[in-house]
Amino acid sequence: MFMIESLHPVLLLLLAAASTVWLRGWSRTAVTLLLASYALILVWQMPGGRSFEFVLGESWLALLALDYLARLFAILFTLLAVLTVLYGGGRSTYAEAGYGLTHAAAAVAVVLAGDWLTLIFAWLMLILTASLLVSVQPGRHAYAAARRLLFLHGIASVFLLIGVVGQVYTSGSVDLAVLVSDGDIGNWPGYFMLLAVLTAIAAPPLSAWFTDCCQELSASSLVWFSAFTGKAGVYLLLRFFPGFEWLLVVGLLMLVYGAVFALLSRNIARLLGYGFISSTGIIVMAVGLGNDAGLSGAAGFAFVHGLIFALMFMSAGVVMEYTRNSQLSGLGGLFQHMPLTTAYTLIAALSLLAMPLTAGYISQLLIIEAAFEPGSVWPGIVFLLAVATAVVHAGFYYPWRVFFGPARLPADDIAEAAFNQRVAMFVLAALCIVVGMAPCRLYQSLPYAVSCEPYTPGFVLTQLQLLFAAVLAAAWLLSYWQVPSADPVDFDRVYRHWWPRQWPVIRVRLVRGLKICGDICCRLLQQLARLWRHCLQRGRDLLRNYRSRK
Amino acid sequence: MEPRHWLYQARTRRYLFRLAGLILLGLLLSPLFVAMPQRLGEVESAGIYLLLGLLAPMLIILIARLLYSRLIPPPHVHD
Repeated sequence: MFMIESLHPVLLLLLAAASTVWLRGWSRTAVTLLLASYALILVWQMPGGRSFEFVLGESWLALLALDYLARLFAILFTLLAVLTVLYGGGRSTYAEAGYGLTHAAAAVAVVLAGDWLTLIFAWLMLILTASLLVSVQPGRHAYAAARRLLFLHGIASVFLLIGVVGQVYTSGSVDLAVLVSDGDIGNWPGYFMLLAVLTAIAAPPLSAWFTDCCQELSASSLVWFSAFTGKAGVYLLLRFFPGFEWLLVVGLLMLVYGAVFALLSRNIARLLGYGFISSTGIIVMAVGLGNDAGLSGAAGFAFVHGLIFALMFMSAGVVMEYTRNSQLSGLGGLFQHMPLTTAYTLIAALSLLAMPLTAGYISQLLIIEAAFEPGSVWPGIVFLLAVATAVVHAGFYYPWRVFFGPARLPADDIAEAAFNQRVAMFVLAALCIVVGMAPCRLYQSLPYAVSCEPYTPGFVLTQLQLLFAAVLAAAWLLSYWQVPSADPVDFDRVYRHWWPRQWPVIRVRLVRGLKICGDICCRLLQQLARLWRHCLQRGRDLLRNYRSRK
Repeated sequence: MEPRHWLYQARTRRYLFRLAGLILLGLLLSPLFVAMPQRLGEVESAGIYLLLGLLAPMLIILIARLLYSRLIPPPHVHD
């Protein structure tokens, strides 16, 4: 107990990150795995409440504040850190492992923060490590993507900082507080913070950074990058903006945007990135519902979504690593060469489609039930459509296109994933099934009490109908779908193409404008000097006349 | 030659026909799916789930098809 209460999980993850500087190969994996696993046990067993408190001025800062919501996300982040270390093994470079673990530590620090100052510090660390993780990838495109990420999130972080300072100033306290009352944000700092959070969860039009970076990353970095930033944003939404009604619109926009752009992608990392955004839209809409069941469903599905997409990105990493190909048009029929990876991907896909006996089913059912709760059927129908939408990205299109269909690569070049990668994927796939078969443990960990019995014949049958119909329609229509020859034009067009092209013109106009302003100022000063000289001369004349008259 | 408006293009028509066909198929099949849950006494009208399941991917694919030529740059344009 002494050990548990006197150690901060973030410290252990930072120690693991520091150890990557000195250790190499499997010794590095073993030590980092041990430290990350210990952080997971700490988070699991730690008593709730505030700890690691100290005084700053007149305020008490808390580096660790644990409640149901924080514990759920902290368990998810430390679990994903453990499995990503295992997945990367000796293959990932020390920079990838080090920055990845620091990124995980920052995400855990965000969810465990007990005050605004700790939160903003952890958030800045999260953004910085995300951009470092991208920038250490080889190639100038990765460096450029990291620079764009830092630019966009830098602006968002400034907004977050303004919001936090405003919140502390208006409330007079550094303690965290819910910013929504009666379905609306009560004060102006809340809007600034919301902007930063929407950037983190990749809500359009602030979304392109996510897929832009995804396609530049290696196998293990892809998992590190995708697992934490977006989920930390979802945590902040659940913590500070529960029941904000506009989130229903934002979530719906994310859902449609992600699904459409996933179909228009030719790169598998991009496809899964857009799929990630699309299914995050369901969580955002559930947060917007604002009732207890919706918020519990959102938290539960955020946890499960983390597991599912970690598994999906691991599978995409294996495909890219062993086929040396990331284009959809060049992939197909991989189930013959990668049977285990195919099986794990299918489990993740079925879980995303809310197939009964999987984790996705028990968590998405909570959201659907919450949507039907207020009396109107329309929110419920929208959520049912949202669940079925997953077939056009990670739920059906990705596994069907990559692992099935005609083989397009020579068989000799392709091998099954390495042992450590298979173990990491197996654990995630097993969790998807175990959590789905025994939902009580997840339901007990949710922030609000849940009274849902998922395995009734009605629920199971209707969900199977939805799933069957969606897969049928997707299989029919997507068989005619042509994979695009280029990546789609996204919102990043503004700062990647429009702005660099317009900048020379804007610069010339700006210089010309400044020159005109300078000229006007010079002339004004000259006139003022002339007036001054005239007044001085006139004063002297008057004084002289006065004296001569006297 | 002036390209035809997307609404009158053959591929749009083809997708609209498929959409209509699938909705019809859903309507035809829904009684089968309604009957079973009703017998189990759990759900009153379950055919709607089948229709929603058919509709969701069709709508997304239709939107993607309509935006295809606008969002995918021609092959000679590189980043």
